[in-house]
Amino acid sequence: MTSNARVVIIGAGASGAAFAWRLAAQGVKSVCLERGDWLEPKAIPTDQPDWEFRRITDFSPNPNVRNGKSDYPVLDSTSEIKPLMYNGVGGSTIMWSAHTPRFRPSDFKIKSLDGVGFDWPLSYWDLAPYYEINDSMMGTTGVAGDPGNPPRTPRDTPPMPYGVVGTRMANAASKLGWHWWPSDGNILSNDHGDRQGCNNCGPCEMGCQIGARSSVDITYWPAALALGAELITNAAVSHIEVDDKGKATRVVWFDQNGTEQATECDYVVVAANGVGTPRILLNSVSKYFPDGLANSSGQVGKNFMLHPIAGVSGVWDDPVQSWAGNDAFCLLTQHFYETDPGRDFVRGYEMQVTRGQGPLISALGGFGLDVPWGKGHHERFDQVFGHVATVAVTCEDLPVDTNYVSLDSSVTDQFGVPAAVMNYEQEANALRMKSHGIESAKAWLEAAGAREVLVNPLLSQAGFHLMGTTRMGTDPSNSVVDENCRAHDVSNLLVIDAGVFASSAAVNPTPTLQAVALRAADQFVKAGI
Amino acid sequence: MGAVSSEIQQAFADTVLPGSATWPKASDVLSFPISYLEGFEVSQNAADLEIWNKLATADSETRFEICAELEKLQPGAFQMMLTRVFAAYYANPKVLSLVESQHSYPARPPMPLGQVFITTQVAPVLPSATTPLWRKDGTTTAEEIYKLQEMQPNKVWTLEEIMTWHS
Repeated sequence: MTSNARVVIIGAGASGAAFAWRLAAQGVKSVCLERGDWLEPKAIPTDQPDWEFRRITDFSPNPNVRNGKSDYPVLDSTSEIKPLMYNGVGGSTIMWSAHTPRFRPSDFKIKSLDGVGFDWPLSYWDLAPYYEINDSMMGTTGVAGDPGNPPRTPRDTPPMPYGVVGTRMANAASKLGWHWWPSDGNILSNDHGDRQGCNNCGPCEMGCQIGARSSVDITYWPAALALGAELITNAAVSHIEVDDKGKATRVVWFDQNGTEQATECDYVVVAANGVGTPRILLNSVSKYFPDGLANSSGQVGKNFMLHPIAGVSGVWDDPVQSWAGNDAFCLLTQHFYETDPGRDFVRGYEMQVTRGQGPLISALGGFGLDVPWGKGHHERFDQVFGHVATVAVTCEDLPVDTNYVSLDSSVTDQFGVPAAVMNYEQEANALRMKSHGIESAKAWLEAAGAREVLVNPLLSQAGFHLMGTTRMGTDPSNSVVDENCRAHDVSNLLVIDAGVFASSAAVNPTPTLQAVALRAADQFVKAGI
Repeated sequence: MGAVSSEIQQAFADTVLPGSATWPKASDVLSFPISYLEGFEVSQNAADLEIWNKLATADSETRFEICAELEKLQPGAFQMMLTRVFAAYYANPKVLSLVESQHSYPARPPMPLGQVFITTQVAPVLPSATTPLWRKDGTTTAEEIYKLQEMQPNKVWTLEEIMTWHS
C-alpha cells in the first residue's frame, strides 16, 4: 500500500522528535515512521521484585540481549564496545541516564585547534540558542554559572542531590584543585510545571514510571502531535528509493503484520541513530547510488565514534548509601578536558561521579567490583554493597578509518533487512588518554577517602553514544551532509542524528544532537523546503 | 540441549552461595527447580554433561572445583546459570530482609516509593572557581562572551541574549 506525505522522518527518538516538533511549530506537517511502539510507564518493571533481573535480560539497553520485537540485529563480535539503544517512541531516551553536559566550543574545531580529526562546519555559537530551546523542552536539572563552560540560562530545577558520595567527591576535587560542577541532566529534581520531581529511586536507564527523568515520548512528542505532526508506530523502514533524477521519493517499510508499505514524499529526514541510519542508507542501493544512498564519498558508515569509558570504583569503609539517587551522575569535573602539550595525548576526558547499584548487580560484580562466587561471596558483598561509587572516565574518540558500521546480509531482521555490523577498536590516542584518566580517577577517589580502588579499564557494555557515521562537512568528498544536515548527494534528504557529528567530544551527545536537529529544522523551513 | 535437574541446580546454588554466619546458603531460602531457570538448558554433549552431572553427587570441596571447571570450560552456560541463581536469591524476601537489616537498603523495588537520602553526612559544598575556564575556539563570539563572563561571573543570562549569538 502506498501513502503520501510532504516530509517523512525516520525514527521517533531524540532527534526525530525535536525535528518534528520544530517543523510543526512552524506549520510544516510531517509523518514520522517509528519501528517500535509507545512504552507505557507501567510496563517499566522498576516496581517489580525481579526488577534487577529484568534490567539485565528483557529490559536490557543492549538490543542483542533484550531481543525485543522491534529490535534489529547489531552484530558486535568485531567491536570492543557493545551497542546500547532502544527502538520505540522516544528512541534511546527511553533507556538513558539523561546526563546532559554540552559540547564545549573547542569540540567543534579540533582540526583547527589541535590538528586532529575533523572540524564541524558550524560552531558552538550556532547551536547555543538551540541548546537552550532543547533544555526548556526536555526539562533540566542543574545550576547555571559554570565557569567551565559558556554561560547558559537558569536551569528548571536545582541540581540532583549529591548524597554522601557526591559531597565527598566534591570536597576531594576542591582539595586537588580541580574545578567541578553539578551535572546538568534532563531530570527534574523537584516538581516543575505539570511534571513530578524525581524520587531518587535509582535506575534511570530502565525508564521512569513517574516521568521525572525526561524522554522525548513525554516531552517533544505530545507537543508535536498537538501541533499536527503524525507518528506511525510499528513501521520498520527497509530502504529509501530515488527517482530518475536521484531524488529521494519513496520510503519503503514494513508494518507489524510484515506487510510491505511505501510512503511517497518530497523530503526524507533520517533520524535512526549512528548505527540505524547507515544501515538504512547502505541498504538503499540503486543505479544512482550503487554503494548506498548519499554515499558517493564512501563515508556512510565510516568514522564511527563511541566513547571509550573506564569505570573506576571506590569502596568506603562506612556506608555511603550508594544505591540511592539517579545512578549515572551527580557532579563532574572537566579539569582534564582540553589538550595539554605536556601529556602524551591530544584532546581530553571528563570524569563524572556515578553511584552504585542494587543488590543483584552488586552481587554479580557491578562495574568491576570483584565479588567472587562461592566462599567469600557474602563477606565481599557486605564490604561493597552500599559502600561504592564509580567514577566514569569518558574519553574523546577520534574518527579513524578502521572503525565503521557495515551490513551483513547473511543475518537479517524479521523483514529480511540486513543486520548492522559494528567494527570498532579503541584508537591509540584514546587508550593513552584513558590510562591518564584512570590514574586521575584513582587519585580523586583516594582523596575522597576510599579505602580500596578498583579499575575496570573499559565498560564494554557502554555503546550508547553512536556518532560520526554520516558526518557533517563542507567537502562532499569526505563528508555526507552539509552544515544544515542536507545530504551532499541528495538535496531532499537530511540526516539529523549523532551520525552527523564530525567529532565526539568527551561528553554525552544527546543535547548536542537535539540542538543540531532543531537548528536543521529551522534551516529547512528557512530554505523554503 | 537439555534442562538441568533440581539436584544439580541445588548443588550449584549452594556452591556459589554457600552462606555465612549472617547469610543463609542458597537452599535455605530457595526451592528447586528455580523458576528463573525455566527454559535454561545445557549442552547434551557427553563430556559437557558429565561435568554438570558430577555436581549432584560430589562433596562440597569437589563441587567448588567442578564449578571452577565449568566457569572455564562452559563460560556462557556457567554465567547464565550463576546470574539466574543469584537473581532468585537476591529477590527472595528473606534475603532482602537481611539486606535491609545489614545495609539499611529498603527491601522493596525502587518504585513507586523511591529512596530517601541520608542528609546527616551531607554538608553544602560549592565550587570555588569563578573566572572562565573554557577554551576559546578562535571566533570573535568566543572572545566577546569570554570577556563578558569574566567581567560578570554571576550574571543571569536570558534566552533572548543567547539567541543573538552566532559564529
